[in-house]
Amino acid sequence: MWSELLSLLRQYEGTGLIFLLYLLALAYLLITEKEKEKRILLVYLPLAVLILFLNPLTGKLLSRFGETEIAYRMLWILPVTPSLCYAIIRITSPLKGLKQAATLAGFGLLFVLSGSLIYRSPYFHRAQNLYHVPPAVVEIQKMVYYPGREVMVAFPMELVPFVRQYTSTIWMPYGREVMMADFAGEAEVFSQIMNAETVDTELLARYADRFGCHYVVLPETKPMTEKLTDYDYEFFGRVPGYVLYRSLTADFFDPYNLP
Amino acid sequence: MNGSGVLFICILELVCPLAAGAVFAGLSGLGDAIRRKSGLVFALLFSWVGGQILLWAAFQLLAVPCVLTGRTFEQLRRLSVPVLGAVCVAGAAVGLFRVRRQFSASGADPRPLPGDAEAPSKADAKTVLLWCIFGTLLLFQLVMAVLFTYTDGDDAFYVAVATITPENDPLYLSNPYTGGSTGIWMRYGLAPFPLWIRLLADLSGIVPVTVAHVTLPVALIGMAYAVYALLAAQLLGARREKLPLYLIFTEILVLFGNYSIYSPENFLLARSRQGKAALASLLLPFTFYLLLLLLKRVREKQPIGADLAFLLPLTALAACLCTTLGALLVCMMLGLTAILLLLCERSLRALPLLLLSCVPGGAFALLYLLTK
Repeated sequence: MWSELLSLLRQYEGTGLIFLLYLLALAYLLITEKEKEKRILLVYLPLAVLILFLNPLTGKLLSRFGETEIAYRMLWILPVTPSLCYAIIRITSPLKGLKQAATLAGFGLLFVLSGSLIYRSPYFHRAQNLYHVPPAVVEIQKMVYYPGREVMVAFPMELVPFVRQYTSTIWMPYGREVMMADFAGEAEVFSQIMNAETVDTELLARYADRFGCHYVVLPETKPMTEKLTDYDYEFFGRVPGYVLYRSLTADFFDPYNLP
Repeated sequence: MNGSGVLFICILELVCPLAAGAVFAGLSGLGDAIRRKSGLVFALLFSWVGGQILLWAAFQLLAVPCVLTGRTFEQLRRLSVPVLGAVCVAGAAVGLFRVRRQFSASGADPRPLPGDAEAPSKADAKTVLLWCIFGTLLLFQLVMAVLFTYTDGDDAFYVAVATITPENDPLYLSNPYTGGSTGIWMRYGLAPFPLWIRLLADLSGIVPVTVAHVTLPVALIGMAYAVYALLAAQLLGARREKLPLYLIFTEILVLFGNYSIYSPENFLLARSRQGKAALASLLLPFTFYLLLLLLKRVREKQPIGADLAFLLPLTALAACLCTTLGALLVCMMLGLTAILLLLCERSLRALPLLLLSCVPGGAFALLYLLTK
């Protein structure tokens, strides 16, 4: 349990350099800070939190409620950024002129080198619309929209997390929950079939039918064992990067008013 | 997103919190600030953040009973709009009344404002330049929040709840991942931050996904820096002229906070539409700021003040709205501070307030543990 918390601490630290600088700032404030309220909140409170976090009893308590994996949030109480900034201002205040400017620039550079620019994260990218979802989701929703009814659409996994952020009119046979460790079932099997390197068309058609899918969306370049149009599906349309197929057998509630 | 949507969302995210929070500025001496022409910006920042926390806390008290009793979103909205509207009007009225009274009491000694401390008389060119750098970096972050997006799997739940919650079905019974009904999502129903997003979307006429990914991050990033500024002003005290420098370093740490995906700095810029981000980068630093004010007042033997007496429990309640763990974290902060205060200062003065502040948040935390 303790090792689990330690590993959470390591994950929270990330590269560890900013956290190391924070611990140095904490030590500096422990020695130099004289005002009681700042001492309590910037020094004693963080130390108490760290002791509490690394306490095996805390781990036991958290695991009892199944919350161990989010125990790192206890570390949000540590005032890392305010303490570091405050310590820098204290350290550089007695300095004058060029010496002060150089020290401040040095600290700034240290932070830049110790951290990593957030916008360089691979998960950050330019939004393509004001919904911040892939344009394919918006286009597909327009194509499959059926007034007053929801339609069941199977999507490739890269689009799945965005669909229901954008619209409530589409239901899906599987959602992002199939990616979670404790999730298992037919939906997971279906997602594996849809997202296999080469799609087994027969299996796909069988599962899509079982889940009552009105539409199936596949990446344009996805290799398939056979054509989906050989299995009660018709070509319905195309959006950049994806092809839509419509079921010929699924119940559309009112078959005479298909979109 | 059309012009009227932008106007309404500005009213909801800027004017309404400011109006509701005027009560705290009134309690903290905004009138004094106007009279002596200093600390006004801090009083406004304090109102804005305090007002948002007041609105969140009120919404939490309305939304959770609605979730537990199987009410629909339409019923929640019909209840929330007049109540939250009344909170804004009452907050503004009480605040303005007190400000006017302070303003006209010209003979009295001005009371120190939150974040106010021996303000420098005149800004020199260097300070102006530093403020310009801070402003530019802040603007950069706000523009990036609009133009860039961060893909996070958790949005498939949180943002989806805001989008798919039906008007006329019980709350938290729809499966946000796939659609269809499911058992009540108690863990999430007790921290209904997505319903707040949905309310903003309904009232502004902007779709929930845009509110979540565009307008809310802009407001929350701005608010987080407001809290950092308030906190900095308290910490720096006589070194107030260093405030822009402090804030620039804060911006560097936030911008380069990608050293870990779990840091509050990362949450602020990457996942600001999620309640956890509001907790990590807004509510916990604000609690820290309130505790700093409280401890300072205790040390200086000043009255604790109605502003703190209201804001501490309200912040714990607002934390419950953000995430189920929020109440536990705020209560842990308050409890540890109470113990440390007792050990270091041998003072019992703040103890009742700190312990009472844990009650509303603690009740929600207990409810969560019992229903889990």
